Amino acid sequence: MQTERTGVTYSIRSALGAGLVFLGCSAAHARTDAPALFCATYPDAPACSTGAVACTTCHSLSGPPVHNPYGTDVSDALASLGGEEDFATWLPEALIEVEALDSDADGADNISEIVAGQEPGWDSETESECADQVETDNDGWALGDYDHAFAHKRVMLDFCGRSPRYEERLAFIEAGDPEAVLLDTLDLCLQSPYWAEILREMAIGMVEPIGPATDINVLGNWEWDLRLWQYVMSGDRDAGDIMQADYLVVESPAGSGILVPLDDPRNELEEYAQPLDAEYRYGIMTTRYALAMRIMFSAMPRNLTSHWYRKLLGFDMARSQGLYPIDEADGDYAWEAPLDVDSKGVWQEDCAFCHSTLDPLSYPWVRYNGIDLDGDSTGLWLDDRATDLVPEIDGYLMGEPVDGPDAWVSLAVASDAFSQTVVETFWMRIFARAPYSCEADEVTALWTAFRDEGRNVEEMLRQLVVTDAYGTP
Amino acid sequence: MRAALLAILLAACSGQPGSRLVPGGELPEEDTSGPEILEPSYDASVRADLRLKRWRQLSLDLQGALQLVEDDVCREADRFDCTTLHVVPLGGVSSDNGLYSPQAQQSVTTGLAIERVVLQACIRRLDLDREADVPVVFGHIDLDGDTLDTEEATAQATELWRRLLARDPSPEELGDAEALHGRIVDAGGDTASWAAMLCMAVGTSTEALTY
Repeated sequence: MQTERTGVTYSIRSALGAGLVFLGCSAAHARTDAPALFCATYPDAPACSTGAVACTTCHSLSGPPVHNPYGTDVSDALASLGGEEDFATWLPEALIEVEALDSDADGADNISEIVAGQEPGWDSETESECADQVETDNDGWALGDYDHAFAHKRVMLDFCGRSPRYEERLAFIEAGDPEAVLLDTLDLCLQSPYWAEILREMAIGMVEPIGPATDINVLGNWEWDLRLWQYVMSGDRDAGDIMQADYLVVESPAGSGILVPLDDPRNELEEYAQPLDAEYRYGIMTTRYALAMRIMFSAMPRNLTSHWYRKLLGFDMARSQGLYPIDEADGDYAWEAPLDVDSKGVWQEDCAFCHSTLDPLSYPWVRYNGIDLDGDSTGLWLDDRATDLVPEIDGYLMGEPVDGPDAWVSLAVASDAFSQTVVETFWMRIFARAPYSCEADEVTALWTAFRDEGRNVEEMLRQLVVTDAYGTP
Repeated sequence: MRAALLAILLAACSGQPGSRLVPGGELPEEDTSGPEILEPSYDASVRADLRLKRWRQLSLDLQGALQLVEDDVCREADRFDCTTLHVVPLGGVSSDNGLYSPQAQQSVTTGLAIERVVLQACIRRLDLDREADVPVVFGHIDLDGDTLDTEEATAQATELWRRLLARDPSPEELGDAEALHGRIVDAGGDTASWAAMLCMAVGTSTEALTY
C-alpha cells in the first residue's frame, strides 16, 4: 500500500513489521534472493520478523527499478565491491558497507533506522502532510484540529454520496453535540443505496469478475460473490464470514437491494448456480465462480489460494509477499522446496521461492473441483479428487500447519493480516491514498480494535470517521 | 444555445479581460493590465489532503443542487448518461473492461468529463427554468434580457453559491460574479449565458469538486 508521492507514505503492513517485499518485487531487475539476504544480514530487524521486508526499503515508492537514496548507496557499494556478478555473496557486504551512512539525510544512520524498524531510504521529516500546522488563521476550517463540519461533509460524501445542503450544513454547525450528530449521520448513510453501491464496487475489486453474470453460466455467476461481500461487510456482521459463511446471499425481493442469507438454494436454477453442500462452503472461496474460474482444469488449486491470499490477507506472492517457505524435500536441496506433487518442476530454486509457500497453502483445497465439461461436478467437493497427487489435505498457512479448509479459514480470519487487509481496503477506498506516517497510531488502533471487537466493518468505520486523519483539514 | 455558450466561454475565459475573438484571426493588442491577483487572506492546510468527487458523488450533488432527476444531469448525444460513459475518468470501475479498481490518479480526460457534466447540468436547469412558471434556480434574473443590476446579481449568485457550495458568497465573490456579466455581454452573450457560465464556474471550482 504505497503510492508515489513527493513525501513519504506509510504502509500499514510495513509499520507493523509484517511481510511485504524488497528488491525482488518486480519483473524488472528482479532479485528474488534479496529479501532473504537482507534478513539474513539483519535477522533482528523488525521488518524481518514476519515475511520479508518492503520493496521500498531500497526502491522508490513507485517500486523497482528506481532506487531510493538507500538503494542507490547499496547499489553503489555493490558496484565498488565488484559484486554485481555475484549478488548473493556481495549484497550482505554492501549492506554493511553503507550502515554508517545516513542515506535519507534525516539525521539517523542507516543501521540505526533498520534496527529501529524505520526506513533508511526515506526521510520521514520531509513528509510535508505530517508537519505541524503552525499557521491556523482560516475562517473556513479549523486547521490542524479535528473539524466536525469538515468531517460531516466527508461523511456525507463518502457514505451518502452527496454533500450536505446549505440548510443541513447550518443545522450541523448549530448542533449541540456534533460528534453524536456525525455518527448518527454515518449510521444513516451506511444504509444508503450509495454505500451499497460502493460495497459492490469494492467487491468487484475483490472478485475481479469475468464473463456474464448469469446463473446458467458453467463458470458461475459472480453476482453471488459480490452479494456475499456486500452482506458481510455491512450490518454489524463479522467480516470473517467472507471466508467462513456456509450460507448464500440473495437479493429478495429482486431489485430491492435487500440482501438475505439462505441456508440452501431455493430452486433448481440456484442449485446449479451454487451446487456445493453447506458443510463444504467457505464463503467467497468456494462459490461456483471462485472454484470454476480459479481452479478450472488444474489438479492443484494454486490460483484459488493465491488470489484470496492476496485479496483477503494482503499477501501478493508475485511480489514476494507473505512467503513462509516449507521444506517438503527433507533437505534434498540447498533451498526449501515443495514436493512438486503434479510434476511441474516447482522444486527448482527459482520456482520454489514462491511454491514452497504456495503449494502447502493449496493442499487443503485440492478436493474442490474446478470445471467439469463432461459431467456435473463443477464446483463440488469430491472425496477422491487428486488423491494420487495429494493423499492428505494437510497444509500450511502463514507457516502454521492446517489440516483442511476449516482450519485454513479459521486461522486466516483470526490473523492480524486479515484485519489489516480489511481495514486497509476500506481505508484506501475512503482516503484514496495510503496512510501518512503520522497516522500510524490511528491506523493500528483501527485494525486492532477491528480484530478484537468482532471484525465489524461498520463499527470500524464509526471509529475511522472520528480519527484526526479523517477529520483534520 | 450550447454552441453560443461555448464561444462565450472561450472569450470570457481567454485570460485577458475584454479580449475578443476577432474575424480574420488578428489578435487585439495585448492588455497587460490583467485581473488583480489577490494573495489568499487565509492560512493553508499543511495536509492539503483533498479527494476529488467520483462520478456518483458528482451526479448526486448536481441532482440535489439543481433539482434535476438523474437522467437530466448530462447525456452524451442525448442518449448516453455522461457519468456512465465517462465512468473510468470520473473515478469509477468498469468490470466489463477488466478495470476492477478506480484509477489511482486522474486521467487526461477527467477534467473534460467533469466540465461536460457540470455544464450540461447547468444548461439543463436553465432550460427547465426558462419554461417553468416558477423557476427553481434561475429565478432572480431576466433570462431573456442582457442587463443585470447588483441586486439581481447578488440574489442569483447567492442562490448558486448556497446550492453548489452550501455557503454564502463573500463580498469579493459577489463582485467577481457581477463583473463577469459585463464580459459575457460584451462577448455577445446575455444574462442567461451569464447565469449558465456562473453556474459552471462555481460548479467546477476546486471547492465544489473536492472534499
